[in-house]
Amino acid sequence: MTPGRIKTFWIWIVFLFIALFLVSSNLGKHRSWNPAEQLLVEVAAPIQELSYKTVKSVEGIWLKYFALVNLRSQNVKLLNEINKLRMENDRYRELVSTNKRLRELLQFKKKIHWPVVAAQVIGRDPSGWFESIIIDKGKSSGLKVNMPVVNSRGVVGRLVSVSPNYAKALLIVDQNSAVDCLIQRSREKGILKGLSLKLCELDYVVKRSDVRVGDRVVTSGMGRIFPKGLPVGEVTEIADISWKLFKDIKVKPLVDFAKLEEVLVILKEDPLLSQAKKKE
Amino acid sequence: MIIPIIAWVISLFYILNKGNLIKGGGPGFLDIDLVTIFMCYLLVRHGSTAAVVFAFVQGILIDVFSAGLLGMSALLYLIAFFCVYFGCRLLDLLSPRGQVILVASAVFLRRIVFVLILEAFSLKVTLSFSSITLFAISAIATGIVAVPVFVVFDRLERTPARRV
Repeated sequence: MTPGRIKTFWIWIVFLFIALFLVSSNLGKHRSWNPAEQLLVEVAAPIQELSYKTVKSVEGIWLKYFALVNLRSQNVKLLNEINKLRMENDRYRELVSTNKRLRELLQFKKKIHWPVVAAQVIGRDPSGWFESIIIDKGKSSGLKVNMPVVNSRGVVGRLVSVSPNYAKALLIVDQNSAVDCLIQRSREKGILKGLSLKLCELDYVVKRSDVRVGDRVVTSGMGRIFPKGLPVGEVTEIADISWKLFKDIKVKPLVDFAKLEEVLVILKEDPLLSQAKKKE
Repeated sequence: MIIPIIAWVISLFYILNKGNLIKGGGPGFLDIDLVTIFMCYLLVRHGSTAAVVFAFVQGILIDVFSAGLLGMSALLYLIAFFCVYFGCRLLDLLSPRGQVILVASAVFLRRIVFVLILEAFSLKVTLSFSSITLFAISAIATGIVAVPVFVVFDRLERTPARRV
């Protein structure tokens, strides 16, 4: 082995041990960003926010204007006029749609008896495997770890990491997520776990329980994070597998996670976390 | 020294926007892994230290912005680096054929190890034939993309290749 290769090998070994140390020290823990990670997020998230907005506006210009430039020359003036009006119209439609979404959020906000903070989604999980979002509000807006995140349709997830101006929320459709829920009609309890972007499963529901397709699933308030009665999803499939102890229940979340743009963070502190802080 | 800076900047933008582009839809049909391509380029043109540092830091960046375990992506990129580093003894990373095979192998291995780790942590992920096919398609696509990336970077920077 040449000295260069030995050096590379040792660098690789050192990094490998650091990575393994990080993985093993974080295993099974729900910890927030440490100061170094917070600094990284504070530096990188504005870039993410800026590029997200740039991509959106370029996409808008492309869809609303450049797709129409391939026109006959004699109609250019008229078509430009039409394009201008269309752009204006699209802008108004976008404003109406934003207004509608915000109005829905506002109505939902009135239903919740907790103070809330509205936030915008600026990024999504880069691994492609996990389901999380980055929002543009953080500690400076009063956000803390384990605060519930909702939108006008229902439960979105909970905060897992917070920096001064940004936060990361774990979505309920992530496989690491577990929410204590109940069937609204029959009050049967279960734990909702994520399966994919459009599907969850309700675990630990006993076989003799009364659950039907179409039943609404809401939060039970037992998991100490989510307030009671927040809508979560609808039962789409029930299977009774003989060798399983519990029913196999699939739930379709009410929130469309592929189109998540604005969310509300409920300023409800995790009682266990706040107790631990008081003891400290 | 312009290419390492370009690679770091593009990779940063890629990681921060990848989630928005694929909308969190799992392993997409053509999920191009630019980080592995850049890592291979840095390995062959700027040496193994530059490549291994790049792989580790980009992995950590992914971990910070994702809901996964901190250190997992870093670990996976180090495994990908290991695969390419030792693969260079069998194949020439300077030839298009070697680039496609080595980059595709590294991406494929990284994904398979990732699923195996997830399975080990008892998440409900199983290594099915369809997921292996998807990984293979994405890996081959990444390998094919590596060739023009190497050509463009080589044009921008005329650094003699290093012996890996």
